[in-house]
This record gives sequence, structure tokens and C-alpha cells, in this order.
Amino acid sequence: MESTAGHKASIPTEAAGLAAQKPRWLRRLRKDQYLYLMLVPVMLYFILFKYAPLFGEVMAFKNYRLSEGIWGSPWVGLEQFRKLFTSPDFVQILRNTLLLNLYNLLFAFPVPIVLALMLNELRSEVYKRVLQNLLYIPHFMSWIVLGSIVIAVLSPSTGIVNAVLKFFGVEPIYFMASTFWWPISFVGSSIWRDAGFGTILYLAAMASVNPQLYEAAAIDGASRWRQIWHVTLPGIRSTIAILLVLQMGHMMDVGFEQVYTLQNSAVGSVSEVISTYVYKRGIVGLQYSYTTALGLFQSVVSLILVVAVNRFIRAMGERGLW
Amino acid sequence: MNLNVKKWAAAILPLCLSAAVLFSGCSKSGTPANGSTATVNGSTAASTASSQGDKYDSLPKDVSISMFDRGQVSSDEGTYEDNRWVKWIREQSGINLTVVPVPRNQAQDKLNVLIASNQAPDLIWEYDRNYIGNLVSQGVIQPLDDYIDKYSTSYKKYLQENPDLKPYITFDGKIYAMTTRRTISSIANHGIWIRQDWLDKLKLKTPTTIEELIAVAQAFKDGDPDGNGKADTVPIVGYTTNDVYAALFGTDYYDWYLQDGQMKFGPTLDNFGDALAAEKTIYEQGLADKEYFTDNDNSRAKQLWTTGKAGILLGQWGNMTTSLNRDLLTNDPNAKPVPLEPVATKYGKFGLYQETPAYIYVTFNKDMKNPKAAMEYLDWLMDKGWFTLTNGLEGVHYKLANGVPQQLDADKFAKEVKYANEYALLKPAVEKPEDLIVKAAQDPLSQQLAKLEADSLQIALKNKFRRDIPYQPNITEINELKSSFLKTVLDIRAKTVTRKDYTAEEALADIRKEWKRLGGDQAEQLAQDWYEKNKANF
Repeated sequence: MESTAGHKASIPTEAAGLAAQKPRWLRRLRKDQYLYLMLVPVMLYFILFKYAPLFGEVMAFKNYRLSEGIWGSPWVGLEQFRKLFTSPDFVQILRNTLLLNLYNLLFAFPVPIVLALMLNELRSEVYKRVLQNLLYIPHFMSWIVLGSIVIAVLSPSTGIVNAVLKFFGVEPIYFMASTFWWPISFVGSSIWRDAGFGTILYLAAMASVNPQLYEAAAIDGASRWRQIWHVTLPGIRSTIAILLVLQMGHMMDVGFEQVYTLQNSAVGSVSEVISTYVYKRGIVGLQYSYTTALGLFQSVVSLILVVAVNRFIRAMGERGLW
Repeated sequence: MNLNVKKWAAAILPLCLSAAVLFSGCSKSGTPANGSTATVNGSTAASTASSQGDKYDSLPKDVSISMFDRGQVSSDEGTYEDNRWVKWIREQSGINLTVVPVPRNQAQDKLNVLIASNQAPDLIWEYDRNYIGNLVSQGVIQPLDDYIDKYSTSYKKYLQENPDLKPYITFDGKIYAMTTRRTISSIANHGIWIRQDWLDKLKLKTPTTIEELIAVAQAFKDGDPDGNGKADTVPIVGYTTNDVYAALFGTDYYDWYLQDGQMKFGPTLDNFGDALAAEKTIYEQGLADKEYFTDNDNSRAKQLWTTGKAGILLGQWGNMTTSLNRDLLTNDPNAKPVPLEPVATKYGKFGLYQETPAYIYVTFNKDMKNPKAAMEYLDWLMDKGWFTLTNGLEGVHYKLANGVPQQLDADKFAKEVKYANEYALLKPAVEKPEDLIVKAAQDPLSQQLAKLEADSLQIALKNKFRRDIPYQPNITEINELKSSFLKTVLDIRAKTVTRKDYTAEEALADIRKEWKRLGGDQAEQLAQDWYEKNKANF
């Protein structure tokens, strides 16, 4: 440790001497070398698992056959895209993907904010922690398990929801097989699983709001509601904005597991989304190139959406993602 | 300041170390995924090597095979990769066998991923000829004519004695797979079961037509056949439901049929519309479990049947249904499940789904190292291996009764031998329905079930499943169309059955419209050409 410190201490003189030759970035690198070292594993992770596989996207412009591999397969230009855009499936899965995400944005996105506001108002610290933990729990269960629970809870003959409806004299509803109720059940299950976990970031943001602001508001005679509206919400505005940008990045992408465990043939027309379609046609049906084209299309649209929303948010005066 | 630096360094060092460790772990597990890009070079090198004579003799006799993981290996038996039978195979055959299990209900996509990432085993097998056809089109398996000719004795002889199996394993004029003839118990597949005690109690006749079947189901619903004073019985449950209804009307979801000499696809036939109408009627009158569309793992159907709450089961002649019946009879010894002969419809009487004569299709990975050893292994299976893998060890699991192996203990057999069945990829066995009774263990329940199975098997084979052509065309355009069309058909079927305002006629019209839109006319033309070219072989 002595030597490290001594070495460090000698840097300034040395750096001053070499300032003319060495470029600035190198000096900075030198100065914060340990911090950059910490960055290396993460960078390697992204290069290996996020950037290197991008190479596979060339499949979208080829007619991929397993035996010929990615390089060996013949180029077909935009043929896969032509096939994709003229396919009757395409409109349906694109519509379903966008609709489900739109519902999620409209109904599931605000829920953690409301929940966080409510939790924030709780007086008893113990009660708040217990409640918070209970709300998190579903997030740590896999969709395979949650999917069966959702199907069982909504079952028309044995499910608790229909038992309650029956008690009030309503005919049992087959939620999971109705094209009207399925998207609602879908969004409901998303809220159930992830809303509690989503409150973490908002609660952290609320904790950083200056308490003096609340005191000042209280002295000015603001009620609880007024305090939430004029102090808490503006305080977490930038967090909401960032999360909105991130959410837009997922606009073209519905988590595979959730849809796959909840869908069935009776609701195929509203539940088939890009990810399940890619699985069924690409991996099961061996049409790799065709589904890669679809995946590439999905990524490009997502990128455009993220960039657009980020611009929009910066125009509103908030800090965007970049 | 200096103090701060020290603190930093002290904090960072272990962090970096642990990150490095973590990362190296990650990269190790990451290599296979990344390695897929290297597939190309490796494969071409291997295939050029395979064309030269008997250099295989110098190679180690290593063979790897795929295996369906059906979750049947109990933990004290080991795993699908390593258990008493894998050890036994290694000892007896002299081949160093490696087993690569894939989950049964996702076998094809798991195999596809293994193939794409160059990790597929030497021997890849499936029951599904269409899948093998896909592998041929993808160019991942190799023709076997030369290998059989050069290295095989037992299988070569078997193929000469069973020339009718050849069309099933031939693609584009070359043999791409090895298969044996199915025994009758594996030709028969689907089957209907009915509670005879319920029929007796309500003084009903065994139904013989679809109308009678519906009437019986209605009586089961209203007549409180389980006698608990509550209207809580579900007349019809099942796990092969859609296939059974279609088969009764002489069609199905996947195959081509000949209508007046023209090739037509199953779901576009009039028969299919009537099958949908029947299923709709049954569903709307509340004669089937309302929730079978979300019963993805069939657990509701199984539960209703085994707890004696259901009257008619659309299942299989044996297999899974036999285990369900075992549970049913354990729960209620007075229950009397009996096999029901498929009922007649206005199109006549058809059998339920039956397999084609070809059993497992075993194929050779294009990149395999030692095809000679693989052939040696398969010949060994044909000669001796299959018998033990099917029946266990003499004196431990079975004894011979009139030349038929008889189980000594049903539970022991179920635990120790049953899972080994699919290790016997090739199986030149011959079997009679009566053998099932002799084969079964001697305890009364096993005997009772075996008797039911023997009856059921006979009934299952009594009527032929409608198959106008012995095997289906393997044409890429048609395969692609079929995979997207099947989804449409299943959607429309579910809509027809569950929606009151959507009739079966509208459904059939929609199915035909979709078929045209997806390019059905062109597919029919291709299928017709294929038929004209191949019909001489049928």
C-alpha cells in the first residue's frame, strides 16, 4: 500500500513533465486507472454478450441453412423482409405486440408511482417495510409458476375470482379464453408481478427530496394532497422520465415467458407477439433467417422509439438518458 | 488525500479480483453460444474425412445419441446420462456411449439449438418423419446407403426382409434414417374410454354413433352417475381432444388426403367442418370440461378422470391412460373404465390416430466422427440390446412365460426398466395383444389393467385411421405453409368452439379463405405433382 501511494504521489510531477507529449485521454486513463479497471469486466460483458452476437444479424439477409452456417448460406438481399412484410401474420403480431405494450404503458406504468406515493405517506416504518417486502415477492417468482397461478385463480369453475363473481350473481367468465378479457388479465398479471418491485426507484427518489420543502409547504398551509402534488411529484419527475424512456425501449418487445405461459389457442389472435412468433417459427420451425429479419426489424423500431422519446424528454427540460 | 487513495486501492483490489473471477466463469459458460459462429469450418472438415475408407478402425469407439427426457429416471437410478442401463450398454456393446437428453415436450427445438451450435450428438432421432425431412432439407444429416452397405450386417438383413419400410426412410432417393417396424401396441395410439359402471347405473347402451355419444354424455351430466347427489360430473374430458374429434370424422390437422384423386389438406375438407360442429355442440351443451383450452398440461383432465368425476376420456388406448386408470382404480376400486370403439359419423366409421409402421427414425449427424462404430452399436441393439432394454434382466425384472417375458414386480419394473425403453432405438420385436396380459406383473391390479389394455388395443386396431397416402410429402414450401396454417386452424377451432355467435360453417369458410390466402392453391399443386410422381410406390 505504501508503494501504491508513493507511486500515485509521483504522478503529478511526471505528468507535468510529459504534458506536452501525452494526449489528455491517456493522462486521464492513467489518473483513474483503478476506476477504469473496474469498468473492464462490464465492458467485456457487453462486447461478448451484446455486441458480438450482433454479427448474427447478417442471417436476416441470407437464406440460412444449418449445414452451411452463417457465412456459407447464400445471400438473398431483402427477400426475407419482403416475405415478412407481405405475410398476413406480420400485421397481427405487430399489432398485438404494440397493443399489449400500450396497455402496459397506460395501466401498468403509473401503478408503481401511485404505490410509492402511498407507501411514502405511511407513518409506521415497520408496517411500511413489511408491506414493501410483501409487494416485492411476486417479482422473484418465475412466470412459469405465476402463469399457472394466474390460470388457476381465473378459472371459471375453481378460480377464486369467479367464485366471488358467482356470489354476486354474475355468470362465470372464462377470462383466459376470451379475446376481450385476455389482454386485461395479461396487464393485471404484469402489475401483480412487477409493480411492487418498480416502487424501489421511486421511493429512493422520494427519500432524496429535501424535507425542508415539506416543512415550507406545511407552513404555507398545504394539505397532504397539495404536498404530494407540489413537492413529491416534481421531486421524482426526472426518475419518471428516465423510466419512461427505458419503457419505450421495450415497446416492441413483450417478455417471452409471460406471454408464452399465459397464451392458448383460444386467444391466439390477440396473444401472439413477436417473441413467441420468433420462437415458434424460428427455433421450432427452423426458419432462422425469416425470424432474424423480424428480430432486426423489432430492434430498429425500438431504437428509433428510444431516441425519439429521449429527444422529447430533453425538449421538456428533463435530463434524458444521454 | 493520501489516506483516501489508500482506502480506494484497498477497496478496489478485492472488487477487481472478484469481478475477474466472476467474469472468467461467465466466459466459460458463454463459449458454446459464441462457438456457433465457428460451426461452418468444423463441419466441412469432418465430412471430407468421412468419405475415406476404413480409417474409422483407428478411431475410439465413441458414439453419442440424443434421448427424450421424460422425467422418468428417479434420482436413485441416476440420470438419463448416467444410469444402470447406460453402464450396461457400455459394458455389453463395447461402444463408449454418451447420452444427450432433450426434454420430451421441447425435443425438436432443443435439438435444433444443439445442431445450430454444433453440439448435436452423433445419432439424432425422432418419431416424427416431418422433422427428419426438415433435417434433410437443412443438410445436417447424411445419407446412410453406403454405411449400411459396408458396415451393417443385422440391419442390412432386416431392411432386405422388410422392404416396405424403405419409402419411410428414403428422402430424395437416398436412405437418411434407420427404423424398425412398430409393434402393434405402438401402432395404435389414441383411444376413447368410458365408465361402464355409469352406463349400467343409468341403464344406457354403449354409444355407437356420434349422436348417441352426445346423448350418453347428456345423461351423464344430468343423471348424477357418481351418486353423490350433486350435479358435479363432467361427461367428457381428454388430452387428445381435437385429434379425436377430427379422426372420428375422417380427417385431421396435419395431413394430406385424396378427395376424388385430388390432394387436399385435412382442415380444408368438409369433414373438418363437421368435426368442428360436433365439438362445438358438445362444448356448448356443457358436456365437456369448459376449461380445456387453458389446460395446457392436461392436469384438469387427468384429475377429473382419476377422481371419478368424468365419464368419457379422449386419451390413448394405453400408455398415459393406463397410468390414469391405475390411479382411478386405486381411488375407486368399483369404477369400471372400458375402451370404447370409435363412434360412427355421417362419413362412416374411422379409427383414431394410429402411427405409420415406422418406429423411431435414427439419423446420422453429418459431422459425426465414427459412423462405423455407430453402425456397430445399432447392429448390436438390433441383435441383443433391445430385448434387455425393453424387458430388463432375466430373473431380476422378468421371467420367461411361454417365451414371453413376464414382469416380476410392477413397481420395480416401472422404476428400474421403463425409462430404458427408448434407449432401444431399433427394435425388431413382434407382439400380439394377448402378450400384454402375459407380460404384465401378477398382482391383481396389474392383471386387471393388462386385460383392459389388451381389449383396448384390439378395439384401437379394429378400425383404420384414415390415411389416404402412406406417408406425407416433404416439400419445403409446404412445410412452411403448414406451420403457419396450423396456428390459424387452431385459433379458428378455439373460436368456433368457445364463441356462440360463430358457427362451424363460417369457420370452415374462414379456414378455406386463409388457406387460399397463405398460398394453399400452389401447395395443392405441389402436393399433386408429388403424388403423381410417387403413387407407384404406395
